[in-house]
Amino acid sequence: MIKLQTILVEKINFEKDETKRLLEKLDSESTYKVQHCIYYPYLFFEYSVQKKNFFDPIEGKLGCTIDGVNKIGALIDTYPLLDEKKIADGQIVNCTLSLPDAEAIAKKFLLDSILRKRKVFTIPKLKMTQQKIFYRPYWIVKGNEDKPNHFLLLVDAVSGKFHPLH
Amino acid sequence: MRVDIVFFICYLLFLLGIGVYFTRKASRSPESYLLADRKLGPAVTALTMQSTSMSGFMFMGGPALAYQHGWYAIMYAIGDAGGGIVNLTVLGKRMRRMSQLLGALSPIEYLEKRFESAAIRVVGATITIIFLFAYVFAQFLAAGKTLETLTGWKYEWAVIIGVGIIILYTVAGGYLAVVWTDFFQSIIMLLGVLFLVIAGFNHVGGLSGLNQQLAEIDPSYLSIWGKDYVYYGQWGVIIGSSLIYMIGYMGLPHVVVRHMSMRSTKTVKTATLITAIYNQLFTYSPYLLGFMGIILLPQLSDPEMVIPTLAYTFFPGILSAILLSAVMAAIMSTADSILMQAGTTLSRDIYQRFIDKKASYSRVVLISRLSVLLAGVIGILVAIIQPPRVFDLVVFAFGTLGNSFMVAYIASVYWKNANKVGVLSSMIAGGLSNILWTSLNWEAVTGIHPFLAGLIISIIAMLIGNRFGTPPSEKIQKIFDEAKGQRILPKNIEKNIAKDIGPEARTVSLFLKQVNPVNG
Repeated sequence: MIKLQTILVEKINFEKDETKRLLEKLDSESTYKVQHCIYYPYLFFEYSVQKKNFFDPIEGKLGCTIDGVNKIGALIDTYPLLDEKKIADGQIVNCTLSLPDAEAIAKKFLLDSILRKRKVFTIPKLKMTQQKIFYRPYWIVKGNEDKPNHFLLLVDAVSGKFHPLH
Repeated sequence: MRVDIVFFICYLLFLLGIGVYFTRKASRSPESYLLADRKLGPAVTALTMQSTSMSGFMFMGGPALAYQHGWYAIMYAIGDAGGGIVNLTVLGKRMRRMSQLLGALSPIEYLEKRFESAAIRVVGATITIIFLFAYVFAQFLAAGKTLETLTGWKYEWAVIIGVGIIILYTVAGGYLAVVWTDFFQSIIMLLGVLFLVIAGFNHVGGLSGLNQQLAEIDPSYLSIWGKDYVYYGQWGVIIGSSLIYMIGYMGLPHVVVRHMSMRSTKTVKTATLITAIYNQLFTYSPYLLGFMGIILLPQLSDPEMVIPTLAYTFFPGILSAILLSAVMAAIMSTADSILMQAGTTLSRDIYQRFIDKKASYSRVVLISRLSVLLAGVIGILVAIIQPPRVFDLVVFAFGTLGNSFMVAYIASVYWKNANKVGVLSSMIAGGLSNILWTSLNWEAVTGIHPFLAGLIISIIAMLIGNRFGTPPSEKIQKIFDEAKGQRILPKNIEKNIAKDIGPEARTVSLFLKQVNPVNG
């Protein structure tokens, strides 16, 4: 029996057909079959940033995601659009990172990013305003299915970016 | 002031300008400071690799050997001419891919991550620190002595000025400054030596005239066995002479790091072509000048000064002005790369690995800068004080580094089941055998060059040691396959791969193997 979990899932921008079209447009000589969807864990953090300095004030909100398996941070420009969905266990990659551990990584990552990009001399204050675990949908796509040179791609269903699978 | 000194001072200021120009860019992250964000194109990759590999030896030791032994010395040039091409072809693509997949920023960190052993990092960092420092001291000493001889400056001031500039631009601009200064230095080196060779051939009547006159002085100058056929029948010495530079560079951390900083694997093809052209133009020329010295400077007391003496005696003016900068460019372009690598090993392989694992980006960059500065200051002090025994290490530096790491780097990308025990055995046995062979002069007894002996022993140690270790983890085996680059992806798909979701792709690959996917 398939076990279902209720999770927060990012909204799909590239449905099956669009994903197929995207790849066929890039490479019309191969055939592509979008097989199924995998949900990958990320931890989202939003912080309000405050640095009162007459010459170089910084104020506003900053968000980042932390890869729930590889613990890698990424800055985000827009708030992820999330929906609650029931998803089968076999489609969900387990999150191996706890929220407190991820928070420490996120804070360090954001501070490093601010220091590198703004070249500020004093460390700004970060106050967490939101934190969430969510899952991003990725399509598993098989290229040239019945040929000896077949291959698998992982396609980000939100951005359309892809990477080969081995 | 003399024209050559004015030209040289302008040249030093230009190099310093490059360092200052890259200061801000290098400060962005440890990857920027230590590896130039892995964004170097083919021309810079090719020329920094060549100018780093070819030290002051090309203007001093190499021509001296040619002056003393005649055409036997060309075996070293053959090795040098093929060295860069072999290095890029054998390691280039695979090491570029694997170092990024492993997230390694230094060649020693790369070995630790590939073979999953902290012991490799400890042994590797120890060998690197000892022998790279010895190598740095040798280059600094050469810089001081060359400047002292060619300019008449006091030795101490020559070291402080010549080496001080290297330290300043390396500390400020990091790896970016090193590779870009190397790029310009390689051009100066080529121009300096090419002009001299063309002018020299005019004096001796071309290649035929050169050989004819050498034969008249002593026919053994034309043989590959050395003057008076001193190496007659010793194939181990002859092959070793070529091999040391043909493949030895693949074991030098400050050279192989160039594979890790290329923009992409596609960079390798053009870089190899540029290397091939550069090497054919450059590597034979210093040796040809050494041969010309036999004819034109028969009474020369110090063979190492054959090129400078030729330039100042027969081709005064602009040629000798360029020559001073060319000789110094050869020394400086090697010294800055070694200095950078010594600093990287101190900051990344020792400080960040064993002292402060959680150091922030900005702290790592600061520590890297301080490490380069520390290595440089120690280098200057040693070059000035010249403590006994320190320079004994210099004799072993190149061969020990080459024999310690070459088999490890090649196995890392060509032998999937190579493991930590095998690699540790090859590193220790290779390095140790080179030291023993050199210090006990076993070359005289066996007729085998120390480098060739070290290579054979390190291969045997790798094969034996590997039987006692456990195979690499599944993760490393996957990375190995990926680094092989035998993808069957269509060209346009390959071109548009989003590398930033690479970690997710690796995790999903493992996930798909563990669960039965549900079709959605």
